[in-house]
Amino acid sequence: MSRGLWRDSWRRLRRNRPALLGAGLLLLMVLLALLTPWIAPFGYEQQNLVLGATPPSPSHWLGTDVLGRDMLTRILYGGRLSLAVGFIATALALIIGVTYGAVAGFIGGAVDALMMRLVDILYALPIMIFIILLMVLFGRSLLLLFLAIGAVEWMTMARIVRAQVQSLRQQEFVEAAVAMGLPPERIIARHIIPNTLGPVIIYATLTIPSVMLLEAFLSFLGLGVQPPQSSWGLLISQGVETMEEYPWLLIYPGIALATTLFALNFLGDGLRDALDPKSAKD
Amino acid sequence: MLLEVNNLTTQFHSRMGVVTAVDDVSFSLDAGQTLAIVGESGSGKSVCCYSLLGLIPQPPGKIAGGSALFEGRDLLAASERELRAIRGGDIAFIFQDPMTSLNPFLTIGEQLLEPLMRHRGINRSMARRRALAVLEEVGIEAQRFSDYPHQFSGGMRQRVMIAMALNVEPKLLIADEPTTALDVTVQAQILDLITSLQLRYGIAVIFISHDLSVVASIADQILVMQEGAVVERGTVEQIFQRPQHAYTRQLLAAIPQGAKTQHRPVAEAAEPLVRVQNLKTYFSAPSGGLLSLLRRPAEPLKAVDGVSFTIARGDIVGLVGESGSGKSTLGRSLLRLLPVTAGSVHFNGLALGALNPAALRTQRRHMQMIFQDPYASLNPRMTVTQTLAEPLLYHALASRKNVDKKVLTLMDEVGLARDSGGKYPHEFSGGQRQRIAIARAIASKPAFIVADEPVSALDVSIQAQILALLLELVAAHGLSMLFISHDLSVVRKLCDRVMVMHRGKIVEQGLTEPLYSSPQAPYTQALLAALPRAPL
Amino acid sequence: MLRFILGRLLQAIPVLLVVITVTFFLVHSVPGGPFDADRAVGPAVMKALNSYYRLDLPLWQQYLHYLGDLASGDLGPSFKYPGRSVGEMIAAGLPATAELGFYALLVALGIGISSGVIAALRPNTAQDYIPMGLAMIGICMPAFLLGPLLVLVFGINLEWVPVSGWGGMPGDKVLPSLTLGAGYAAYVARLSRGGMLEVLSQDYMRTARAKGLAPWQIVLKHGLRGGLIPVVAFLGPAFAGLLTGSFVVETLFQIPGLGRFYVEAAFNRDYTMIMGTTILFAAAIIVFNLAADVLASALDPRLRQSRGGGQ
Repeated sequence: MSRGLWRDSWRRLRRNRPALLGAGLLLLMVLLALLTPWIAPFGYEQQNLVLGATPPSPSHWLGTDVLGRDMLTRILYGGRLSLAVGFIATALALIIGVTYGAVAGFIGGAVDALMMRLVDILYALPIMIFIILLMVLFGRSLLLLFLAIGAVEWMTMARIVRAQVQSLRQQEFVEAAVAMGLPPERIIARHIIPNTLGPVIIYATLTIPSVMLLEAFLSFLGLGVQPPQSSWGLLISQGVETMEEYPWLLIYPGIALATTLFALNFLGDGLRDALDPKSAKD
Repeated sequence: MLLEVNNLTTQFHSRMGVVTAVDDVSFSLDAGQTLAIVGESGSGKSVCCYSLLGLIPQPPGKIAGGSALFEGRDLLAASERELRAIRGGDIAFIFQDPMTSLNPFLTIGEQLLEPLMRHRGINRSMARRRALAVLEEVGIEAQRFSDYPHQFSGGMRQRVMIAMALNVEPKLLIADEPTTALDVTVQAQILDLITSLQLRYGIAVIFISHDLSVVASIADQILVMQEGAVVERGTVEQIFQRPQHAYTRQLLAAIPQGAKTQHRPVAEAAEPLVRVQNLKTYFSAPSGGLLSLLRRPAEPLKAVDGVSFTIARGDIVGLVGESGSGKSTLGRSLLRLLPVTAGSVHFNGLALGALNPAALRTQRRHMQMIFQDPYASLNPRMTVTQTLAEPLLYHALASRKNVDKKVLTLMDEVGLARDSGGKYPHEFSGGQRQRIAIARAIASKPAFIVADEPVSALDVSIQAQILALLLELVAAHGLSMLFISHDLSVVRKLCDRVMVMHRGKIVEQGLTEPLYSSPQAPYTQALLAALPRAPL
Repeated sequence: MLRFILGRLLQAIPVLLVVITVTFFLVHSVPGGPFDADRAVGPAVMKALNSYYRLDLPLWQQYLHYLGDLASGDLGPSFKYPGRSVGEMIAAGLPATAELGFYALLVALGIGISSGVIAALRPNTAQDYIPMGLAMIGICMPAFLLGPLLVLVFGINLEWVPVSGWGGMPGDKVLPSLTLGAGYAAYVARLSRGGMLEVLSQDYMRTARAKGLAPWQIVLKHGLRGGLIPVVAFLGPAFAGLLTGSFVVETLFQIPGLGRFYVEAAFNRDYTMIMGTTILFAAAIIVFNLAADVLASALDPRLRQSRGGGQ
């Protein structure tokens, strides 16, 4: 539909080395996560109580934990969960947020005012506190985790989309489409959405690390993922407990999390620079 | 000789190569004189003056050669520190857009005091006294000293900038398009102000502009620049009466002069194509939260306040007014792009207000609009062909098979190269984009077009071309047009009838020539009196 | 201005009510009372406890009682520690949390703004890349990762600073404040850099240069106000974040502050304590957001109620 500007943006992105690095790392992480069941050297649950916690060695590249479980395996499986939460919760927040924001932005008027008021009120509530409460009180199911995280993130996405749609609506080419007699569905599909994709992509890429951090935070407090499942956040919290004696139990999961977050942030920044319409006018 | 510039050359280095923005420019100026530098965008007129005081960003920019002797000292060889002492002191600047050139976070008083304290070495209270005196001279009340820029109108802000430049009594004032962003009447006032202050203080002035007629009344010398080089210089009389260079002649020819030449016989008989009766478009003030519920609701903004007129088939009617007059709102209300508060619009006998949304959409193909901003009026993610094909396909004027051919025909009509169909809007110049917009407007074969300041954002020479195109199309397709503009000379050249709008109401309307030669309403008289006259 | 503040405070009341109500019913909707998990208590003692804490009344009556108590400033007795009232426990924990938050904010704003502004003044040089690189690290390292690492390096290996407690030993406030503030310093640095870059390209900066002002004057007097706008806008969410961040930091460093009390109370189902701290946090967030908005309009005169300036 609209190749020219996308091609320009792609070219600009390719020149941005940190962003490419980020994209590469991200791809690597995702690949590892997907292939985990086949490439993990040991079983997930496989304990070796005789061994106990050992530092990295040729047989256990990243060492073992207190119960003799292979850290590399645990980190791989942990990554699966953390990344899954990241992508799925972001997708959820995206769907809700984009729809909400687009409707509010396009219809405008009283509907928009009402919808944004709701968001404002929700913003003022100490959401994190409620989430912690929810998690503590209602048990720790994965589904609840997804819903809770999605509940926090959709609002910012809605605001961004609404702002973008509003500014687009005032652009003269949208007025021209109206003047042409096009029905609203057509205008949204052909004129508004293609021009909204940019900010949505950027923000979605930056929401994933935010979500992953949130999950890690909750897991760290003992509220998110529960053993025997594990996520990077949980691994880190377990690592903290024994960090003086067995620092590798903290460091390697930490590196895994930090690296993935790095990758996502660099990529998101690069996308933001590449898709910026202001730099398109040269 | 106050200022003597010799062979100034300024270049910009970028990844794409070297651009020579100022190419071997020389001129000189004596105290008390006014030099006008005229050119279109990209001519280098502004860069040339900024280079004198090191105001161009030096990494991409570089002064490649020349000298600029100000009272004997070469500015181009001076150190940054020496330049800082001269900037704002002996040489002062006024910029084009007063809205963005004043710091919105500081009071105007504070901004006025700065140059005084910096360059004249006086303390705060003395500076304040002087600043207040200058404010009075430029026509701003003393109590507005602690107001912020956003609390002033455009014209007032420019007065503040003038006060800021002149309160140090500089020897040279460089004014970069100081009146371009202002309404005609305000422009006249500001020009008067500058000239009177100049006489009083004996300041030399360099006046940069794209508008030859504006500088005609104030310049001692005129310099015409094109693409970085000076193509002609001379007195007002020499430039206007005996232009030598082709470009100068082109600029002069582009100034709309005199009355409309081709007249179409205006058939009075039948029902007018457009009939507007008592149209009102009010905007309610934005709500202010919970507490505003307790107060009485504020007065709505009456953008269009009871307007009535008709447009006959084949008519080109001009709608003139200054900013805030409501003319754009009227254009949009006419086409129902904005909700109308009261009154009626009949198009071809049909009452637009009575139509349901679907019926209204069907009618729309007969009434189209051309917008002012060529950048914003095209979807940046659609190619030219896609943009032009959309109305053709939607209104069933072409099938998927022949649409490409019909698009090419349209492009021919508006003067676009046939091979540019696959390009995106950002690859075109402003004038070309406007052609695309015009092509889109006529694609659905409308009977009526509202043109909202279609040439205001374009360079002077391009303006003339687009206006000629519009006239051609109107004749070829038998169109009726409502031409909205703030530029009285353009309207005179184009329109059969004119309506003058002020604060939401039409204060006068009638045939163009009679209205221009003997305006009845006081506002119209003021408007016409403020027009800069070119001695052609 | 006064009207603005009053208006916002008025708006805050229904919000607080919503918070109180939601929290109350949320907390009470979970099956199982606060005493079920404790040591086995005899039925008589159970009855006495339930009566003392009003748990035998219908829920809506408990709610109304709670509101009434709240209006008179009584937050009720703690469920977990029957001898102590919530009010006094909050008073005990508040100072530590407030101080921690204050220092963290100082770290965030001090380091963030200065590095961001310098980076904007020297774009694409070492003074830009290095701080912004560190900022990226700060964003990607959550407090619960950074904290333990700092403890490992500076506390355990190098033994420069103590690793737990607050106020007990000199220097024990350093690591917690740094841990909590680092992430926000990173955000603030990026925001200030972005804001300053935007401002530096504005026309009015050119006017300031054309007036011959000294460079430091141009940056500080003309540039800073506009450049800090995104930072001020961030203050509201930053405060809320600092609050939740304190949960983790206080737990990590064994600081006897409200954050840790809150987490413990949640796990212990100490209803009144949960209510009390939640209300306090919500009120604090609202007040801080208001303060941030007031600061924003102090910086940007265009946000203030216009006194009829012409347009």
